[in-house]
Amino acid sequence: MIDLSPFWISLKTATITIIITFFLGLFLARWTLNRKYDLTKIILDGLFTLPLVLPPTVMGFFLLMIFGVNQPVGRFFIQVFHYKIVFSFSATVIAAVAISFPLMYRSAKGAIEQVDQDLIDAGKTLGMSQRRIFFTVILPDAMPGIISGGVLAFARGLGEFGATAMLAGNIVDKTRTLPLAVYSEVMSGNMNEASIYVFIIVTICLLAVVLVNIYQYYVKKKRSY
Amino acid sequence: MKLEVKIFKKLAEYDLDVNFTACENYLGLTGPSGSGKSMILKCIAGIMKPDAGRIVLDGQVLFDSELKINLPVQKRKIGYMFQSYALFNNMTVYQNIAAPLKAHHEKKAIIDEKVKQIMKDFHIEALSSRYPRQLSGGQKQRVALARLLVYDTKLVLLDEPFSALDAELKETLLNETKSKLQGYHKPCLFVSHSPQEMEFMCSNILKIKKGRLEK
Repeated sequence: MIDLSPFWISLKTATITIIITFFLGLFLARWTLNRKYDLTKIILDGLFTLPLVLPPTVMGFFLLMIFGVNQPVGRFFIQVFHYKIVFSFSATVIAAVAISFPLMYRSAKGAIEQVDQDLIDAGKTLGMSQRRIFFTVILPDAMPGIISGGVLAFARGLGEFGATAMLAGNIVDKTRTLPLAVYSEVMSGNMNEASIYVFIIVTICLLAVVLVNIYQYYVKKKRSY
Repeated sequence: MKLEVKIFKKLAEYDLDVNFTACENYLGLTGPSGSGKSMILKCIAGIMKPDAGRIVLDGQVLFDSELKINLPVQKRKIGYMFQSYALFNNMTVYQNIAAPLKAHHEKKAIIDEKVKQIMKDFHIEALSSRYPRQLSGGQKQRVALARLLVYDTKLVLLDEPFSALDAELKETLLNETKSKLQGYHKPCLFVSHSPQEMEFMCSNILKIKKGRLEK
């Protein structure tokens, strides 16, 4: 009988991750776009995109530098909450968020930037505050792009391997997610078990992407009517 | 209306440098495409900021580079009709017209009353729950105008709102727009490159070319 715990751990990780990533990415996109100077925007954009292009192991290294037992944040959690972050379930979430938020951030930023400037200016002349314009004009207009970014980030979070292995380890029934299970089974020569995990991952990711495409198709149809 | 405009702004191709004072309630601004007409409107509305100059409307200083005054767009109460009408896609006609009232924190009952009144006045009650994508060009224009007149706008800026319409409809809407502006006692600054539209709408016409007024 195959061990289903990696499936449940992955599902739990990916679900919590996407909630954090969605709001974090959206917030950072808006915050970056609202900076006054172009140079600040360019630098921030580079910084927030970095986790997407860096090897996940490098991100894992940085995360260990922050959350490690002898590092500032890690020590703070141990002393104040008696909680060790490394090799715990929460570490899988931290790693997945760190790796997946750039996808969310970039999609949200692109979608927000594409909103017709006239609409934003019209909102201002009608007396609407920046905040009101963002929530009632920009956000609904950019939503299809934001949602597809969210799904991509979800799929990326589900597939996270490198940073997770470094920060959360590969503990059965605790931090072993689907990608880690695939790796472990292959290393032990259990190709049949590995193929089942592979099948689960491929199915979920394909389903997510197809659902987004269907959603985009309907939005396009609705908007052109 | 008394409008005092002195704007200097560096643009990519030329410098915008205009200086005029107008007392007419229906002032026109004409000139070829890309001559800086829209930029002048955007500076008056506060969407764009001039490099230097002074803009005063009915004694209220909206912008003064020397005194470092730059009233935020939201506080200028200047209505701006875009060539694209800029109706909010995700809101119904009703919600679009209610948007400026909501932004000014009016009470719900008052919003409802004002929106219904103006929709009746503009003969667009039947469109109340439609979305902008379900409207024709002329209907969009009516909704956009209603949205500008529903709150206490001091000045209405019209940025070529008729250029995308066919000739017959254009005439009807020109008439309608003029009578509505008169009916609501709103002065307007009208931008167009069509001499006929200008003659009909405005009592004084300023010509502009490459960022400068032509005498």
